[in-house]
Amino acid sequence: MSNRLRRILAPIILLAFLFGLWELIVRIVGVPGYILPPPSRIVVTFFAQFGFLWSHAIVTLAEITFGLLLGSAGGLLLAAAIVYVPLIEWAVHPLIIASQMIPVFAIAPLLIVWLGYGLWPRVVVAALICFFPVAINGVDGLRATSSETLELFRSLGASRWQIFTKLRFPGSLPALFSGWKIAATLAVVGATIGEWIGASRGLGFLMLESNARLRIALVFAAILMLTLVGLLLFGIVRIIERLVLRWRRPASE
Amino acid sequence: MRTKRVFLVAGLLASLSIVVVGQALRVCLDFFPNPNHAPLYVAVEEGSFAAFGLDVELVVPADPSDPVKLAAARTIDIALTPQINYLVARSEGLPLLSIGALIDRNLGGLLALETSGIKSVQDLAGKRIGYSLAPLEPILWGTILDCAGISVADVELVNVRYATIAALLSGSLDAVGAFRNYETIQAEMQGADSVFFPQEDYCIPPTYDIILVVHPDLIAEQTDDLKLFLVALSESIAFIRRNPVTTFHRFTTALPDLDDELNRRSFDATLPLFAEGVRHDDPGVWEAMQTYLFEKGLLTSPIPIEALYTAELLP
Repeated sequence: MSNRLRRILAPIILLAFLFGLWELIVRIVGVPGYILPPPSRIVVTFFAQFGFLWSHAIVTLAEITFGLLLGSAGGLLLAAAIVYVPLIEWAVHPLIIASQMIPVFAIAPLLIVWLGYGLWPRVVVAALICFFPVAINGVDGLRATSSETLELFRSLGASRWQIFTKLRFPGSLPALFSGWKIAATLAVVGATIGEWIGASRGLGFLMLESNARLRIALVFAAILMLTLVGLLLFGIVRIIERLVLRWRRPASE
Repeated sequence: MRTKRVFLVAGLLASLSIVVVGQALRVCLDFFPNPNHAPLYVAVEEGSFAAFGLDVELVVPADPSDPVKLAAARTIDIALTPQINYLVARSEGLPLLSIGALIDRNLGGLLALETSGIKSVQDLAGKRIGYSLAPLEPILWGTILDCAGISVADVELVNVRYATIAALLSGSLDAVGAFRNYETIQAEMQGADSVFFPQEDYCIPPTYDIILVVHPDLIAEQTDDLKLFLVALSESIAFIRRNPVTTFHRFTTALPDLDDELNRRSFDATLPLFAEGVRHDDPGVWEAMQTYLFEKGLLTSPIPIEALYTAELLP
């Protein structure tokens, strides 16, 4: 069996094993369906309600995408500001870290008053949660230029803008992409939490309503759909990473 | 000296026997503690449950749909829940039975601000309504709109969890699902001119808005304990009605966070709503509510009325 085939089959087999274990335990112990349904029922519900789940998934996907873009842009700008302006670093760096400690529910009423109940509060929540890894990794990445190459650029009379675009920024890409992959998964969480603050559509909203209606299999089916959406996004980010970093290989390969 | 020591030891043993508690009963509330729960908290503070040999523990749920699940799974003994949520749970096959009611009237309705131009339900067309308790609220408010001749499609229903009043007062929402003994008072205290549309005025049948449900096995296992619990609760309700000032003080001793003007006024507004004798045994009420929910598609199949509640434990 080729290595490639093994790499594809390994997680699938593990997953199948875990689901089988789950199914067995639920049936043998007799766990009630309104607490934890067996995976067989979840999968059946997933396919039976696929159109319905997908209509909600599209809404959440839009929130995740905009949130990720907004958060990444914000994170990158912040990283550049921190690296280039020491005053900003001293003032802002501790605040950024503190910002991650604030539970979203605390600022949710504020967001609703400012932004209403459309798409934007959820986009902002997703952006707030996912800008952090981009900002932190961006700072590390932008600073990771070797001092010798920096000296070389300076001795050749490169302007600060040229140093940024031709040295610092390309050099920061591996770190940035690491941060971006984390941000992609966090954006999924952020959009879902944002929907719990106030929504009329979306997978997070669907989870709330299905839970309240004791349709627990549907809750898990929504979670399954959310997981697939997250994987899709992560996959897209990885493809972009591979295209951009063609000349650098990640350490695992 | 020796006699003194004997008395000391005897005294210690006597005090220990007071610490030994009676039969444990875990009661899960339907929501965050609020004046609706006064009879329970007052009874605990007064020692009424302890006098009957019961050790009652009050538990706050993480989510309003948890109580019925926890009662069905026997993690807790008695769950407080709206009658509508209970009927939905029974329809989904949860093993439960209603043994009494804490509040036997309607609590809910739609609350809107007159300043946003809403004087009647018809004015809600094209507006945004917020709610926190699915599945019952969307169904209820949809019915109110329907009754007034507005289609639900003309209105945006948003699940806002707990942020209802703030959103209403700031104008983010045009109307919210509200309790007549809480949010209406909140709005009034904020100086807003609000208008309240009680649900029973708009084609919604009367309901027991907070009932007590248990797993059927518990009734067989702890019949006497449950009977005594309901007696104590019923007496607590009567006691509160006769002594509102003292009992509010007891209530806030148990829940110091609720010692404010809003809760004092809410407490007074709730007094007439408690179920006399914790009774929940009007078959007409059960019949009408089940038919209503079935027509709205919230129940998969109706259950015989006798199988929904029992009056055998009522005082």
